[in-house]
Amino acid sequence: MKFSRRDILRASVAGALGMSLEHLHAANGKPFRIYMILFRGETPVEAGFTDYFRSKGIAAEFIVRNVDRDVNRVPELIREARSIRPDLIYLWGTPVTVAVCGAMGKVDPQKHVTDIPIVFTMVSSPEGAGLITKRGASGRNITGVSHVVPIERQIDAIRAYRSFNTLAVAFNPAESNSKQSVDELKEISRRAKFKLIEFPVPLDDKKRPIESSLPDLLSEIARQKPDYLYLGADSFLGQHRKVVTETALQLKVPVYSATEVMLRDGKALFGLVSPYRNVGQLAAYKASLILQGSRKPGEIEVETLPSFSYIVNMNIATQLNFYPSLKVVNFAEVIS
Amino acid sequence: MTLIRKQLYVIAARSFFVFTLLLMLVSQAGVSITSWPEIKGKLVPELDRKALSVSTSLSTKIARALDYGVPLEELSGVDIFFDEVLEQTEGISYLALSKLDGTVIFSRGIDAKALEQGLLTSFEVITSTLGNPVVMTVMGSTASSSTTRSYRNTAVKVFQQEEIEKALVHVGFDPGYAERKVSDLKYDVAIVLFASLLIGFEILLAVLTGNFIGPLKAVANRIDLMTCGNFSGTTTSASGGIAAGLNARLDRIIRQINESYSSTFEAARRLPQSAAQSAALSLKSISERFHIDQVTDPQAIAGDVVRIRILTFIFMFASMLSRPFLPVYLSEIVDSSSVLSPELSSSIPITVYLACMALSMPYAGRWSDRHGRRNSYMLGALLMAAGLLSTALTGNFWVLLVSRAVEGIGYAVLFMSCQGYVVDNTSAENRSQGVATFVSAIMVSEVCAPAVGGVLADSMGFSGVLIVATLLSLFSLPLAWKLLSKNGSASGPKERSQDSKVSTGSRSPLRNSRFMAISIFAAIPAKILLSGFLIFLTPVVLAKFGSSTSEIGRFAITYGIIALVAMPIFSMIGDRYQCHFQLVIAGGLVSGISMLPIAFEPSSRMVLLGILGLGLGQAMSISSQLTLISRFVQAVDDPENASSALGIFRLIERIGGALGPVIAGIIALRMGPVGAIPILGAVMVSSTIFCLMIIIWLRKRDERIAQ
Repeated sequence: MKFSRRDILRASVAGALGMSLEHLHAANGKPFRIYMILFRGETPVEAGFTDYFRSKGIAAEFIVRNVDRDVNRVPELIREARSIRPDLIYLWGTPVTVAVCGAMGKVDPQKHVTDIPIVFTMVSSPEGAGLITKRGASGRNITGVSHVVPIERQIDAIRAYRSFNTLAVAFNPAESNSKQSVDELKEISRRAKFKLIEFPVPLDDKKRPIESSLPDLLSEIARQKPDYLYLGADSFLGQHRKVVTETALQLKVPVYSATEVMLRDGKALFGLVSPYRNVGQLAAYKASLILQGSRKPGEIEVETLPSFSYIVNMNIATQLNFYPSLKVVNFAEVIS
Repeated sequence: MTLIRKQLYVIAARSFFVFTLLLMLVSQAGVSITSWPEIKGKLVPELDRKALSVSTSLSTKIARALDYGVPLEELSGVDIFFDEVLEQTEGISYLALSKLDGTVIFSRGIDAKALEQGLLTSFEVITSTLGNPVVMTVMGSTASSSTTRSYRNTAVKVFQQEEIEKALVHVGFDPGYAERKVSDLKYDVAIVLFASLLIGFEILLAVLTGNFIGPLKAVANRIDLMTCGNFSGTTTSASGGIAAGLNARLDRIIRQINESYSSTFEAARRLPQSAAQSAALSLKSISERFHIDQVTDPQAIAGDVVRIRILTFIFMFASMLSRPFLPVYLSEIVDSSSVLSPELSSSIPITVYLACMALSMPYAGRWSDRHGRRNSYMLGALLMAAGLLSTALTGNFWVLLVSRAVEGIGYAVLFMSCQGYVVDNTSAENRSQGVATFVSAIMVSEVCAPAVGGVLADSMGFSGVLIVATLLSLFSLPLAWKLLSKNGSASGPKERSQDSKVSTGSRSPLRNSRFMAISIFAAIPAKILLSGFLIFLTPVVLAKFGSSTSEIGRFAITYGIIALVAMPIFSMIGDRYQCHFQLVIAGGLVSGISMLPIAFEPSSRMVLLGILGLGLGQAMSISSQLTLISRFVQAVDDPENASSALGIFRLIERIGGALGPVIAGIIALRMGPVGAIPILGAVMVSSTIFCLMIIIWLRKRDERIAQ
């Protein structure tokens, strides 16, 4: 047990830096104005976001707009934002964020907002969406929080429940971030030596996923007898979470979910997730750096949470007669 | 030994030593022996307590699963869980989960069936004394033998919803096994005891000589001079302390003689011319014969050489403290800068150290001659302290190299100062005794320091030990200031050490074929073996076999002990039977052959065999090598060049020492550290045989020429 001189040095430098960052005074006494564009109404993310400001005593005024799953309403909201000129814009989800910020290399100052600081949340893959070129700081007027746990950690989490050989993944091929997760899974399956079976949801001729095909898809999955069914951060499947997870449960297929909503409001068995509240809080922290610390959004790293929640639904486990290992029992958050 | 000396100090000193050392031995042994049963007695209750806490915590964790509704038989991942716990908890042998009737559901660390039987036989007792250890015998699981082992099993109930009994958790350990592990401690105790006795001896010697033996020896020398008819006065620095009264008396006697001489001289002057002249002549002859009116510097101021012993001991101790773990420590630092492979990059700092040490020796000697022994000793101590401190604190590979270089130079300066001091203050008769004092201080610290360093490293970490070494080097500074007189320096030009200088006669030894044969094929491989095997490979290999740092130190100490004990014996044999050459060859073969068995059985036992063989072989050959070298050189070349030839021999030797770790590292890259050892041994054996053949060939050639 030896701590080197390096460790002590690093710790004291970090402490000094940390202290110098915290100076809490709002600009010229007026509350900050934050313009929020939501995709499907208020979620626990927003609760975490606004709570942060409240708990730190930072005066802020929140102007909330909801596009209700229709991305085409974004341009008029951008016009409104331009006329209001808020101190910060908050965006929820990939479609909204791409519509407001534009992908790298395709940014049009007429269409996209380039002169107001932006913090985004619930973008599962900022790189995949083209918002940033690589993980880290964006170099432009945006920063944000991704809610998806890195794939390796997810696979470790699945293995901790009980070891497995075959993983089935269902996804909406029309969503680019879903396709990207599946690619990542394929890559890992080669390295970690497990079998991955892909089940894309059938698309109609307008390239939209067919809702009525879900039961058949799940029956097909059950027939293949995978050890687990993996559900990623897929909006379509998230939207139809009740159908998907209940059918899977009936067919006795254990479901792993990468998002919290499938567990708390669905019948997924377990998952390693970023709690939405914490995502909101981290986004608020970044917002506070911009508003108070006069940091530029382009210098603040886009990142995921440092730690995640391992959630197990014990009722589902009992119904499946498929219980987690002793280790998981003792550290997971158990819900029923 | 004259009666005077015996009466003055010899008997007193000897009895004092014996008494003090016996006192130290008895008190330390007493403490160790009486505390040992207490340590052992505490072990089993401690493990019992541990077993109880482990079983309670396991039961809580399992209860949690049960509370969530997981049926007992459906628990999964229990064995992995048990494995993790066993790995983290020392001393526990097995973990098990059983039903309330004793049927084992999961177990790790013991065969389930055997445990079940054991549980069932003692079941009554176990269930009635839950939470307490129960001695349980278990049948051995090996097919051939039916051995029984006894365990102490602690069982605890697992409750669901804190009420419903569901299962039992069992935690067990084998008390005999645990006790055997603790027994290892007694080796540490013994080594520390031995090392402390040796260190005590050194300190005792230094203190006693300075304050007691030294002054009295000086007085005895003065009396000896006077009994030989030498009545010169002395400018003695040994006039203080315990001998003050005696010295004062002697001074008075001398003064009286001188005064009476002066008054006689005066009286003679007043005589008439002719008588005055002859009187003057007689008086002059008297004064010359009895050294009256003169001043002598009593060269044999006693304890001068012994002073150097404590100074040598301190700096050698400081530099050897890190020996047991240095390669491991270096590879930890080097990890971060992965420019080269770990084996190579941890051997390079060692080589840099040895190379700087070797190469700076001739210059260090010259420098020390010119600027005085005290100044050079203090400079060396400062350099060594700086090098040690920065090795302790740095994490950077290049800074590390520089620190090692600085430390090596410091060591060389210290070494040459001490060696030079010895030569300055001894004459041809007692030089070998002086050198012996110097060398034995080195050997004693070689014995003690690695062991102490290893034990310290386990508690304060590697950097901590290096810092202790730094403090020791710094401590030698005021000591050197006090002990080394200002004039123990460039004076006595006739006695100046030739070993340290690379003189102009350096060509001739290199052309002497016997000199080169011994140097290249006997001395260099021996040093390669010493630095490559003992200093570099041994700690790495032993760490691979799982030895702790204090264990490694224990191994390193055996080399020193063997060498310390065997060297005087073999040098005596060599002198008496004049078989130096045979000893060199035999020593080389012994060292080389003892490295080979590890190829067949890679274990720490074989490493020990190699160390023992190395110690024995080196003890056989070291002093004989030196004797042979000087003899060869004297037979052929100018006798005056003998000492510079010795210096060159030392330099060549040290080149071998510098190359050792690098060569070992390169071989280890291909064959792994364990495989490198027999290869080094094979190289040693073949080069020794080659040396033998060359010398025999040279002998035959000379015989043919003579015919």
